[in-house]
Amino acid sequence: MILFPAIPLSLPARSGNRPPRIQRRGIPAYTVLFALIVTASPLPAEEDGEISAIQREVGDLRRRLEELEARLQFLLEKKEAAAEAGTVPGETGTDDRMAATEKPATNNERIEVVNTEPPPGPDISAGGRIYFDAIYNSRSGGGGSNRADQAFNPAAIPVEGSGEDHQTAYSARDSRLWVKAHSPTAIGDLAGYIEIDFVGGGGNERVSNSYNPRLRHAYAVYKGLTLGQTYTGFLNLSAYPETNDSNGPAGILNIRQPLLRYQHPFHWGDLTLGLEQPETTLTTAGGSLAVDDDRVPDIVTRLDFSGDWGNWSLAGLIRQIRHDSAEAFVAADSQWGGAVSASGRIYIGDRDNLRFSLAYGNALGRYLSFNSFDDGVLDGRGNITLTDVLGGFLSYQHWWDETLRSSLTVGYARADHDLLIAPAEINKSFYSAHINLLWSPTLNTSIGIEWLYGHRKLEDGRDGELNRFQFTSSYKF
Amino acid sequence: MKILPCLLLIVFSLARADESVTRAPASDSHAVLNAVHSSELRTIMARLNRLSYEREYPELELDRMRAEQIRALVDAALELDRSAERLPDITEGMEPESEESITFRALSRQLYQETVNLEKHLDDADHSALKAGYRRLQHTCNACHKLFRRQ
Repeated sequence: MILFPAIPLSLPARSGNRPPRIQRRGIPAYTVLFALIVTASPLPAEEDGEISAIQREVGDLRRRLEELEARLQFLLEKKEAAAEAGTVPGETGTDDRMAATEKPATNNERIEVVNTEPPPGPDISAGGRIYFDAIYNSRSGGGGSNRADQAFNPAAIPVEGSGEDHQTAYSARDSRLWVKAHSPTAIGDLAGYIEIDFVGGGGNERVSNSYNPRLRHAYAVYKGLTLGQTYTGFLNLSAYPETNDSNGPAGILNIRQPLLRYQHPFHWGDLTLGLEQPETTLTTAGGSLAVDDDRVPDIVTRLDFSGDWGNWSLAGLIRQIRHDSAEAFVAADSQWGGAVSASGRIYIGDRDNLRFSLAYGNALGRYLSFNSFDDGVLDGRGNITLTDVLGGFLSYQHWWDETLRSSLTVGYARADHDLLIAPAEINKSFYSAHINLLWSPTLNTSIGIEWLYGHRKLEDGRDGELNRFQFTSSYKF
Repeated sequence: MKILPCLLLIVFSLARADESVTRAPASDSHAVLNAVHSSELRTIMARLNRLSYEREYPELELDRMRAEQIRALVDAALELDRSAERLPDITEGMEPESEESITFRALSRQLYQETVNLEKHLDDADHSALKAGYRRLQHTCNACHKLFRRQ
């Protein structure tokens, strides 16, 4: 017995070149009856959540049936009214799809599928993460507000004769806050993003641990154009390994700076071109020097290739390293240098992946290993000699199941200084190893432990090492 | 008892439909089922979920990556839906108005509608609606699997 007449359902036409959909049949009311019977049948208790989902589906079906009844009634009334007025809806250009966009006279619920109005104003949302580290260090690196004890900086590993043994540090400074906005416009989506953390210095561990916020990102994106501060285009972020430590391994590229960047997709991949904040760093007899004498922005280009197998990138960097001095007997000097890098993430099996990065150049300096090396060496007469730097890492991530995974990461970085002009107590090389176990009981939480080993060697032959055990919890919201 | 073979056919067909996408296409109707990309759908959903574990990507970049994955998801879901739609027509002995057939088609219709919704949110760059739309699509998938995948 058919309780209700079958009602044809119109859906919006498909976009693009997809084949047309086969005309669907109507929904007899006993669909609902059957669905109710099905959901009333006994099912294992542990599947309550899915039963609830099915019940919601049944509820949706019932609601849709009511909508369709209301719509049919509306159309019938409209047709009758048109007949009385001497017109027929189909003849006045009111096809099924257009009719479906009209709100049913007897139903206050909108039909979501046919709402073609863009959302009004910008869509603004905020979020962040609460990040907690409990760390035990074999050696204390100290640093401003003890940062070197909280995040791995290979250049801060104490060498022979310095630092203190055994130290515990707790930190929530790597917590982050962000705000983003998407503004639909007539010419496309305009988006903006600001993110801060609390690694901005200041604070102490005596009373309130009230560290200053630090700007991480502040940029706007329109199509492929990015303006503002974010990660350098020289870096393929997909290759960034998952370590508990916020900084990552020795040899990693990690720079955020103001930039102007354009990315264009081609059939073979993406091409990125960018102009970025220049900053020359030089080694002098008195130590490291960051000068404000730059005139030409850093020029960055990157090619990205991706597929189901993963992705990899090839990047190039051109920089002018420049120094000028007010002192009469010191000449101004500038040198052009460059660097190249290859990096990526390759999927292995269903879940595992291999992440890698290798970079080399004579203007790599501050881009590698958290500014552990300078771009060049400045002699007493103001002449710059660029420093060749090599760095990279390899990280294999294994997923034990859908929520439990481990990463084994090794990194290395080395600089070849001209020791005729460079002081002997500067950094020569670093290497590090991380191994961790992370568990995510939900998609937005992670807890885990990590062991980190780091080694630092100076040009004068002294070295130092660090063992770190780190517990981390993270909640993203 | 007449319903039993129909049910078996549906389960068998859906099981076949779930197999790898690497099968060579053929001209008979069962080959259409074999071409269903549901394993691809699961792979995409797994990758979407795993984006939540990314630590260094700015959220805006994650939005772009989610949109890319959801675009692939839409294509795979529409492909799945097209194959599901043909199911009653190629299953011998299936009565078009049987309860299973009607429910299956109703859920198939819902899958299609939610996929179209998702596509529209993509076109509008409505990232907030994308998340909710994706969750609804997952519910529909789960409901259909619960009712028709008996293995």
